[in-house]
Amino acid sequence: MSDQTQDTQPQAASRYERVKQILDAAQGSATPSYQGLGRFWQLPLDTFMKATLYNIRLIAEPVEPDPCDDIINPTRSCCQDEEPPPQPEPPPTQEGGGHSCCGGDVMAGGGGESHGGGGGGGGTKPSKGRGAASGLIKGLKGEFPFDGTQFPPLMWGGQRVSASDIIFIQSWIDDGCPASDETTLSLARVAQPLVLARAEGYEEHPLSTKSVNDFSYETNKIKVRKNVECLTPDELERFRRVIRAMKCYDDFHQYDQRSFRFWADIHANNCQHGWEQFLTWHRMYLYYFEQQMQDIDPTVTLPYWDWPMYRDNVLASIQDTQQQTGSLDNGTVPRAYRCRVDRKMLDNLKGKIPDDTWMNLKALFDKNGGKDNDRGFNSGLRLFNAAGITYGADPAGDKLIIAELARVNSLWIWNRWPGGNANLIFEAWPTPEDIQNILKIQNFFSFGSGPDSNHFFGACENIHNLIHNFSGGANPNFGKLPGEPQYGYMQSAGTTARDPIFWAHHSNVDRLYAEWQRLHPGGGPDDPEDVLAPWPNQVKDVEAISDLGYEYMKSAYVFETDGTVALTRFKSAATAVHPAVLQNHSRAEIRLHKVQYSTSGGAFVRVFLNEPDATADTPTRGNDHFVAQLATFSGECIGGPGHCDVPPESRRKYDLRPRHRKTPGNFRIDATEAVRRLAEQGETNFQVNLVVLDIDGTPKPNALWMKGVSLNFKD
Amino acid sequence: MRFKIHPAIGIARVGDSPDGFYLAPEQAGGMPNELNPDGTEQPVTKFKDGQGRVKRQAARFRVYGYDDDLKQGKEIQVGDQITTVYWKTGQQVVGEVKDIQWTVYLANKKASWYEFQQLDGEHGYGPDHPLRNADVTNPDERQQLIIDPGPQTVSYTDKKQRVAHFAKGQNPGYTQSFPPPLKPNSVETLGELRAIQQGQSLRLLVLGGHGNSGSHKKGFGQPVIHHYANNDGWFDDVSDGPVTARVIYKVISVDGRTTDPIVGNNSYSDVEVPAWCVVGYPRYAPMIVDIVTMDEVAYDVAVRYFGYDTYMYGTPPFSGQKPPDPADAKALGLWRKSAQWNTDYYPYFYRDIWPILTRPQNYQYVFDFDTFAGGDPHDTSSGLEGNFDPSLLSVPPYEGEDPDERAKRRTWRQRIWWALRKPGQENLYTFPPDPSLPNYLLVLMPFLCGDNPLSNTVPSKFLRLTDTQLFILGQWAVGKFINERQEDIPTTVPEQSSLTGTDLDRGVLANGLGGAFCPGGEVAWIIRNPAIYAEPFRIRHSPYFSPRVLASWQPNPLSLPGPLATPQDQGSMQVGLEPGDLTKYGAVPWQSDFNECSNQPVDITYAQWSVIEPQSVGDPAADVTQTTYWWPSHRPMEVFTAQGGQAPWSQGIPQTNAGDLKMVTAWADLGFLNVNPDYTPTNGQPQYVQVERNDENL
Repeated sequence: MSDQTQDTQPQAASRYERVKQILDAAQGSATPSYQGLGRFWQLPLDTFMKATLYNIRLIAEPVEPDPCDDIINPTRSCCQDEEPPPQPEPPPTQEGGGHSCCGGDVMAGGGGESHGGGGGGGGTKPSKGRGAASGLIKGLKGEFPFDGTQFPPLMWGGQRVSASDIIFIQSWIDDGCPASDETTLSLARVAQPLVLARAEGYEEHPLSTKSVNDFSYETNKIKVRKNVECLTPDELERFRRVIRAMKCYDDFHQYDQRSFRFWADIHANNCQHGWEQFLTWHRMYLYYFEQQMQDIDPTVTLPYWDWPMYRDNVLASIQDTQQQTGSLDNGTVPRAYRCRVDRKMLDNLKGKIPDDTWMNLKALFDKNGGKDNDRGFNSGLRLFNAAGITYGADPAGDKLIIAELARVNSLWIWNRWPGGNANLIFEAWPTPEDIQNILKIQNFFSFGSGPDSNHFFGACENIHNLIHNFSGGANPNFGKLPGEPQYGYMQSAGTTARDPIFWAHHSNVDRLYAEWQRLHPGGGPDDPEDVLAPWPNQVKDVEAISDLGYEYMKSAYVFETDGTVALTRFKSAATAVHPAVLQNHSRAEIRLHKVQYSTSGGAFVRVFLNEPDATADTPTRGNDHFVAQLATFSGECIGGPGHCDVPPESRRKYDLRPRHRKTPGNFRIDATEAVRRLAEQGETNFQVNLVVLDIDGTPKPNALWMKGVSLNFKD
Repeated sequence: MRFKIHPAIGIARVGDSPDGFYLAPEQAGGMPNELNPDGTEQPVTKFKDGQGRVKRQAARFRVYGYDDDLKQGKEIQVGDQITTVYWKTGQQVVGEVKDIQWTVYLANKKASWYEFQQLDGEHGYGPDHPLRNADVTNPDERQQLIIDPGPQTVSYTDKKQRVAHFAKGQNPGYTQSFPPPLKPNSVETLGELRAIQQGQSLRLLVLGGHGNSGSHKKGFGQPVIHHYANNDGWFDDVSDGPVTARVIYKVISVDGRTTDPIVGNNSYSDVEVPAWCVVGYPRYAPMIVDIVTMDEVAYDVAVRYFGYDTYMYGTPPFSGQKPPDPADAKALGLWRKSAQWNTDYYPYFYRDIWPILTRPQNYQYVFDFDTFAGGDPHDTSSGLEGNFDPSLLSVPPYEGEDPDERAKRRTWRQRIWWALRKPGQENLYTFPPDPSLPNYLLVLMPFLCGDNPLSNTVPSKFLRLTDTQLFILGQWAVGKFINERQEDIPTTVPEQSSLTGTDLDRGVLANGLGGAFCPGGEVAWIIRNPAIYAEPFRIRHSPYFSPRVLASWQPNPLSLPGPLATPQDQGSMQVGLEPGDLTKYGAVPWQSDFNECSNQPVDITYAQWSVIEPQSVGDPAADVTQTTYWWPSHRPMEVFTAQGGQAPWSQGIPQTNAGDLKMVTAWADLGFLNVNPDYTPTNGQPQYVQVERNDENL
């Protein structure tokens, strides 16, 4: 049996088709006019979605129109409006591991135009509550005004629709009335034979198309802050979209905490540096900012900027650029933060800026097959220079170009001229060894910064200061053009958080703090009761990042499993781990997620890597592929039916009882050694294999139910 | 369980037959039913008894029970298990229904009330407004002007108590008040009550007076009638008053216990929401629906003052807000200030619109279309050539409609809409001519007399539809309506067996006159005063005549108006209505106004009606009058005879004061309209013809 089987199964019709079937059946042979629409559900989907019956929209407009909504939930397929996001470098992420918003694996069987329901295929973005607000749903339910107040319930002349079918239609509307089901394909809808074949280990569990935080969100687990270079294109796009949305509210920044600038100004007024609150205050600051981002997209976290990873590039760039131009605008930043031109920008600017300037931008866009532009420019000024546009010669045109660059990449800003004096940077830019060394510092104050009574800058904060100055940099036009600032935003505590790179920078500081905490348990600030103004939290509240709902991870690969079927064996897809991640990680870990309480008694789970045919008989000793063996502890149900069922994922608001005893558990298996062994043998693809055994060593059914398996790498 | 009596207002009608009666129709334009001794019923065939005397119309009342499971209510029947609150202790009791005890109190206060002077008094009487019988000044004597037989109670179980009369000498223990001997007819009774059982349902019939009217004045020329509404010395036997009931049940359990000492005993529960009965004159053409019915007037009050349909008229955003609590005066006041029409309301064509549009055409059976003012000026026929062609009027704009067709349908609707008389146009004969409008030079509709076509003081020359009717037709005119037949939405006429309490409330009222009120038919303009209502369609009862007080037979002298002292602080609309308070505005005797409400020369020359010179009679240089009908649906003008052709209905009774006097007795000899047995939709025969006219007496 192969994945092909899935396609040849007699699949249920798409949800859209099913909706039409339900309504047809309920209407029966009656032919009410519906104000001339007739069988309105049979109209072209676009027409159906806009149809009104006696002035009532059958399918409501998406709820809560918001000026920034288009950014938060782009309705148009990004293929029309935007260039695909650049591939990250260095190092590139796993191939095929993520999904760009413009295609790739998730689109198999669909075709680009119906992705996300957008484009010509009808359907729009998901919008919770939209179904309930729709006249069709109210009519089917017999709710006001279809409760007899104005109309009788639907279907007129036909029959009522069952409650479960109404819910089905309602959720289809909530999901934006997709014409086809590609993007909502979930394991629950995978043909049952395939589920069983996977549960028995004959078929691979594919790499999840969701981002790791998507999975975290759905399974209510803590989220991952990833290395900014290891974000999948989709993760990067979501992050940019959130920042763009927050900036969209900047006009109201004084009072609107949804705005980006609102948060930037908190740093200006409250930041703590040079003493022990440096690490804890910024941890809190990032936490609140991240929560705000997650209001818009719950899967977005703050990626981190792992400085030493860029050392070679930075030093090379400074040397080259300084030799060529003598400018201090000479360093590099992670590619996610650079500026570039896209096609829409050219379209938008055509006729608005002088033709020769436009031609210059076009040439830049096309130059070298587009590769230079795709790689991005480390500052806006450098883009101008590369295009041969003299900044300052046409201020109005400059402004338009800068606005477009900000639209293309919300993580870029003009006021950033990264770089510095080559000698200083050469001396100071941290090496991986430097980081290891400061992590070895046992004294918290020496690592972070000193206590109130004896305050001084610790080692970590010192490095942090350098990066601030480097990434803000000096403005080459200062003093040459009127009104030009001397330094970039990152240079000054008052403006620094207005540069989106600030957040990646501090995410890395926080990651080092978390790492230091892991290495030096018990150490910490003097005064755990101190308040982290302007928030009501105390220092002690931010001690554990897991309490704040996140952890740091360089890269992660998730394989979802069907939680309703017991696994006897498990086989993940063989997944390519990029050499850079493979060579450069501190730890590799295999995780089993949401393992349910089993009433069939305890079991053993053997974990292998790249042992596709692993069974109960596969040797463990002397087998390089064997990772570990773990044991579960459960037992017969002593309650009534349902007593050991999986408890609900979310608790009621005032449910103050402690954690439910049957809460599914998680397992973490250190695979660092096994990965190293296999990598040394030249393996670059990794596959996780599990075998479930009874206590007598025979295969055990009905013992392992779980939501997923993941393979993780830490910096 | 809460108990309510339905209909909220029942309509009985007088008749000179001592025993013959039929039941009040319970749907608009419905034929009355005859009641058989076994409790079954069928449509009436004869409106008069074997001796040619007019049968009375009985108002029938029923008790409905309501609770959370019975939101539409269900009629209470013998043997029903009911759950209610034991009034003595507040305990919850379950009981088995044994009987219903009905108490009704009818009275006639006409002679004691103010003179009727058109619209004067609708907003309160001035201190100089004259009383009827003003020469009677002693309060005790004036009390004698009220016909007050006291309350009566009936119940079915005790055969001796099944019938009770509101008659002189039939109320021991109560100080009755009846007029002295009268000419031509004395008033000895206001009617009777009968407790009946139909199937398992216990019901009440209220029968009114016998149409007796007379004057106590003696001497030359007496009795005499000199005014259409006010004639001192005169009394008639129409009446009105509260209808209350008490449900008698055998206790089965108390708070769930069957061991309580009162288990097995009989107890009772008073009806929380009582009703009212109005006695009016005979309905000679019951199948002809008024242009504005009493139901539509009460509905208009309910909609605009009580939030009866907050989706049609309420507070934006019209998302299903609850109506205000009618008992919360503050909330109600606030609601009335902020409520407005919902311009997205879609009326139903066959339920809401077509019934109004068909009425003018049906008037052909009660007056002569051909000779009247150029015939049928709006061509209200629904045939292909008529302006009221349903194939054009019933189709709302729809998706994919031919634009030309749409425009044509719109024009057809707009022509009718523009011809309708709007608020503020009560004194206009034609719409101000504007050639751009489709109603150019058309007479405004309805072309019927208004509330005051008689004087130029507070004039209201012509009738118009209610605000609610106009709103519904306005929505229709702009194309916001639903054709339920096209939409497969059933328009059910409720079956007799499935009538809800609300169906009864509205169906019964739909056979009463809703205008013009000068003083009107069964009741005057008081019916459109929101102050008299406790809730939609329900008259507010004076607490001095509450179910409990009435059931315990505590006699209370009825109140007298204005300058005279009243026995208590009763007698104001804020407190509630007493027996006789709905009919007291009407003409005394009713026959005089009834006779004169035929047609009327209406002075339509004076546009600035008496604003500067209240006593001015207008500009004599351009004196134009227009003969206008009153309400021929109730008081026919010309009818088709069974012999063929048309004849004046009241031939032999002139439109004079002398004719009015003749009508005092001649009303019983006039003919009724009934279905023409020869009629088919295609044979050109009239659908209704006059029957049972006592020609020899007229």
